[in-house]
Amino acid sequence: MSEFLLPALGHLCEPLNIVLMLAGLAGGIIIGALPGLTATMGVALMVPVTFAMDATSGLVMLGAIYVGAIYGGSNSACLICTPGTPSSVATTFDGWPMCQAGKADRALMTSLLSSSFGGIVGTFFLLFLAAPLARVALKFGGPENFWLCLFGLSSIAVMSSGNMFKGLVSGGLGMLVATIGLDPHVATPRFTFGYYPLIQGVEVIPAMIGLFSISQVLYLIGSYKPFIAQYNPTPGVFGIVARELLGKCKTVLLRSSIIGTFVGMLPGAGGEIASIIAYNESKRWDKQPDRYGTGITEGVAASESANNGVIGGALIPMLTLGIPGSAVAAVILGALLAKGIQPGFKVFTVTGDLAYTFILSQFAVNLLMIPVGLLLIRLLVRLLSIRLTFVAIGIVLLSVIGSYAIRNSMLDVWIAMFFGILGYFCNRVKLDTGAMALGIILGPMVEENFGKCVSLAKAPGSSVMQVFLDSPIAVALIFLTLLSLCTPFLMDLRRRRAAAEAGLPARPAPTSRADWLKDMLSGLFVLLVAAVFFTQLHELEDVGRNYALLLLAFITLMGIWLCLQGFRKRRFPAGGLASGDEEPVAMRRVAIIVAASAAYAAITPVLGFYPASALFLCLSAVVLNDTDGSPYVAACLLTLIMCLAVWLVFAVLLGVPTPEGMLFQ
Amino acid sequence: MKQRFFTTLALAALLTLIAAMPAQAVYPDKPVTMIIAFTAGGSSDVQARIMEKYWNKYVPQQKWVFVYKPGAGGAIGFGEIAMARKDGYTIGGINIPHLVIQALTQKAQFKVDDFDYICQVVNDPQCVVVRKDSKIKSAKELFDYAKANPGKLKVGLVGPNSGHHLMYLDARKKLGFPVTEVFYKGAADQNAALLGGEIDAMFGNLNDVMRSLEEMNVLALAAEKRNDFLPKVPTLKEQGYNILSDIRRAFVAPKGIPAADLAFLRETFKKICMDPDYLKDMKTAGQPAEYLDGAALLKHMQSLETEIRNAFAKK
Repeated sequence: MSEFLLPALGHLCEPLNIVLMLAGLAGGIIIGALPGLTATMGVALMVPVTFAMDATSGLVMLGAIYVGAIYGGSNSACLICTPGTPSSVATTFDGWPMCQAGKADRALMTSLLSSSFGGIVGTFFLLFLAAPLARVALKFGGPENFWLCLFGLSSIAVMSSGNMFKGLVSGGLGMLVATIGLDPHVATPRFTFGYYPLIQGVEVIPAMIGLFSISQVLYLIGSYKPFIAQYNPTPGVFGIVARELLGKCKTVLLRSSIIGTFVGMLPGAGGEIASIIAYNESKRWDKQPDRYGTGITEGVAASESANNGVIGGALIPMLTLGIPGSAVAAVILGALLAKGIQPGFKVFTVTGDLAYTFILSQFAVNLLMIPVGLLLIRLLVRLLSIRLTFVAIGIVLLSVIGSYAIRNSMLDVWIAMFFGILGYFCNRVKLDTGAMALGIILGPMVEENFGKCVSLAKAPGSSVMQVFLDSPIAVALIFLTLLSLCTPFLMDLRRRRAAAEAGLPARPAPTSRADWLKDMLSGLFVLLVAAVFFTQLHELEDVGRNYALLLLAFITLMGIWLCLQGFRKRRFPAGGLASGDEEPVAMRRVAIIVAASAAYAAITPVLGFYPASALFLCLSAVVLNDTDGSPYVAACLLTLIMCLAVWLVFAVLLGVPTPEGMLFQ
Repeated sequence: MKQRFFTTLALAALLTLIAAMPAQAVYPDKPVTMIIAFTAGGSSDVQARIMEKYWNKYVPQQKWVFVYKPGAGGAIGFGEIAMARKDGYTIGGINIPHLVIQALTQKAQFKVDDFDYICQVVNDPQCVVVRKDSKIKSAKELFDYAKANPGKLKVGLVGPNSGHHLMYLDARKKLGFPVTEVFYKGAADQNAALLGGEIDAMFGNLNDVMRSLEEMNVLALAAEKRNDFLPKVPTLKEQGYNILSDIRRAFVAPKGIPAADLAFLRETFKKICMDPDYLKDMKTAGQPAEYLDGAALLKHMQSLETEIRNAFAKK
C-alpha cells in the first residue's frame, strides 16, 4: 500500500485532477441542491464524459460529483424543507426549523462541516479496512436485510413520538404505494388500475418531490408571509459551528459517520436509510430527546455526517468485490468496467495506482468541499431575500423538470403533482409525510427480502422461522427493532417521572379544537385508500398478494383506530381545549397554484417545456402577486431569469432532456 | 372573421407541409433519437455509447440523441420504440429475451412483430457459477449433486420471468434439476448472495460474472462455443448437456420505417460491427460482441417466441 501512496499523491496534484475535483464538487452540489436531480443522476450524466478521459481522472471526477451531490441535498433541505436527494430527508427535521428561526447560516454550516467530517471517516475506513469490511458486508443476506429494513421502519416510532399511530399508518401507506407496478415475485402488473404505464411503479424521487417540494410550495403560498424565513446572519458562524461540532457534538458526529459507513457497505441499503437511522440513534441516546425536531445542531449533524459516510462505505464492496453498495456506486462501477478495469481485491495491487489515487482524492474532495461549500452557501442564503411567491413558483418549475428527468416520463410529473396535493393534505391532518417517504423507500426492499426468505425456506430441512431467525446479525437487528419500538414509551415514562419530580401533575398535552376533525379525516382517508387498493386485490397471487393483504389489513385497522380516536377526542377533549394554534391559510392562493401547476403539467406536452414554463411563470407571478407595485415587471424578470437559468443548467451544462412539445421542440 | 381565420390556418398548414417536402433528401438529414430502455450509465448505455463513437465515424453529419426511458425491466422503453414515429429518426436498443417475455407474459404494449430489426450486437451467454471455495468443481458434479439431494442446492437467478429463469426452466425440463430457486432483483444482488453464501450456485451472465471473477468459479457456459473472455471454461454442450441460453442486445426501429432508411441503418451498423477498433473497445468494456443481421435476428426472435410460450405455459 505505502508504495502507491506517494505516486498517488503526485497524480492528485496534477492540475487537471484538481480542476476536475473542483468542477465535480461545484456541479455536484448544484445537482444535489436542486430537488429532483439526485446524486445517481448527476454521476450517470457525466459517465459518457469520462469516456474521453483517462480512467483515473474520470473516477476522480465522478467521486467528486458523488460527494458534492450528497452534501448539496442538505441545502434545499434546510432552506426550503425539500430534501435535494433522498439521503437528506432526515436533514429537514432540524435544518428547516433552524432556518425558520432565522439561523439558516448555522444550519447550512453545520451540514457542510458534518458532511465533510462524515466523508472523511468513510474514506478512512475505505483506505484502511476495505478488505475485512467487505467480508462483513457479504454476511447481509435476505433475512438480515429484511430485519435491517424493519429496523429502519421502526424509526418512524421514534421519529413521530406523540403521534405514533399516525406515523405508523403513514409508513404503511407509503409501503402500499410502493407496491404499485411490476410484482417482484411473479413479474406481472399489480395495482395498475387498468392503466398500463403505471407498471413502471411509483418512483421514489417523483413521490418525494411531491410530498416535500410541491406540498411545501402549497404551504408557503398559503401562508401570509412575504419571505420564506427571517434571516439573521451570525457573525463568525464558521468558528462557532466548528467549535460546537467538535465539542458537544463529537459523539453524535462519530457515531453517525460510522453508522453511515456501515450501512453504505451493505448492497442495497444507502444514504436514505443511513441518515434516518443515525438521526434516530442520536435522538434515542440524547439526554433530552425532545429537543430533536426543534432545530438543533445535533440533528443536522447526525443526518449529514451519516449520508456522506455512506460514500466511503459504498465504495468498499464496489472496489473489492465488484458489488456496489449504493445506486451511485453502481454507476461508478459501470464507468470502471467500461474502462476495462476489473474490481476485486487485486484492485489495490494490480491497479493500485488508480485505486489509491481515487481513495486519496476522496480525502481531498471532502476537504476542498469546505471552501467550495462556503462560497455557495453565501449565494444560497440569498434565496431567503427573494419574495416567497417567486421562490414557490420557481420550485414548481424545478419540480416538474426534476421529476420528468428521472425517467423522461410525463407520468412522473403527474405523480409528483398528485403526491404534492396528498402531502399538503397529510400535513394539514397531521399524517407524517416523512414516514410515508420512508415507507416508499423501504417498502420494496422489505418485500423483496421477504420473498427471498420465503424462497430460501423452501429448501428441505429449513423453515421460515429458521431462515428469519437463524443468524446472530438477524437476532441483533430484531433486538434493536424492538428497542426502537419501545423507545417512545420509555421516553414518555421518563418525561412523566421528570414531571413528577418537579412536582407537576402528569397531564396530557392539550388538544386543539380541530384535533378530533384531523384524526377523523385522516382515519377516513386511510380507509378510503385501503378500499381503493382492495378492489384490485383479486388480480394478485402468491407472496405479492399476501404482502399486500398484510399491509391493507394493518392500514385498515389503523384507519378504524384513528376514526375512533377522533370520536373520543370530540366527546372527551383531554386536557382542555386549546385554540388559536392554527396558522391562517390563504386557501384561494393555494387553489390557484394547484390549478396553475396542473395546467402547466397538462400543456407541457403540447407546447413544449420552455414555452409552457414561460407561460406558467409569467401568469402565476402576475396572479399571485402580493406586493402593492405593478406585478408585470417582476413577473417578466422572473420568467426570463428562471427560463435562462434552467436552460443553462439543464440543457447546456447537464444535457438533461426536457419534455418535448408537439408544437415546439 | 372566423372563416378567414380558418382559411389562414389551412394555408399556413399547407405551407408548412410544402416546406417540409424537400427535407426528404438523403437519410439521415437530422439527428437520430436513440432510445435506451435502461438507466444512463448502465450496461446497455455503455454499449450504445461505444456504437455511437463509430456511428460518428461512418455518419459524421448526423449525431445520435440519447433518450433514456427506463422502467419495468425495459418494457417502458421498448414500448416507446414500438410506438415511435415511423420516419426512421427514432431507433433504440432492446434486450433479448426480456422483450419477448414481456410481450408474452406482462400485458406489454408491444409484440415481437412491432419492430424492424436492424441487427444484433452482443451475445452475452449465461454461465453456471459457484463460489471459488465450493466443493463442486464441474457442471457435471453440480447437476449430479442436485439430483442426489433434491432441493438441497440453492440456486440464485435474476428474475422472475427473465433469461435466467428461462434457462433454469430449460435445465429442469431436460436434466431434472430439483433445486431451491431464489430470485434476485439484479446481478449485483445475485453476485453478493453467492459470495456471501446465501446461495450455492447461480446462473449469471458472463458480463456480470466478470465483475467478481476473483471470488467465483465459472463451471460452464450455456453457449454454442467457448468465449474469448474465458477461453478455459467449457460449454455445457461439450459436457453433454444440450442447454443454450443467453442475453442479447440488438438495435431496432419501429415496424414500417421507409425501406431505404432501414437498409441504410442495417448497412451502417454492419460496418460498425466489423470495425476492428470497435471490437477492441467492446472487449475492453467486457461486452461479448456478436453480430447477427436483421433477418437472422428476426428468425431467432420468432423461434424464441415459441420456446418461451411453451416454457412459461407449463410452469
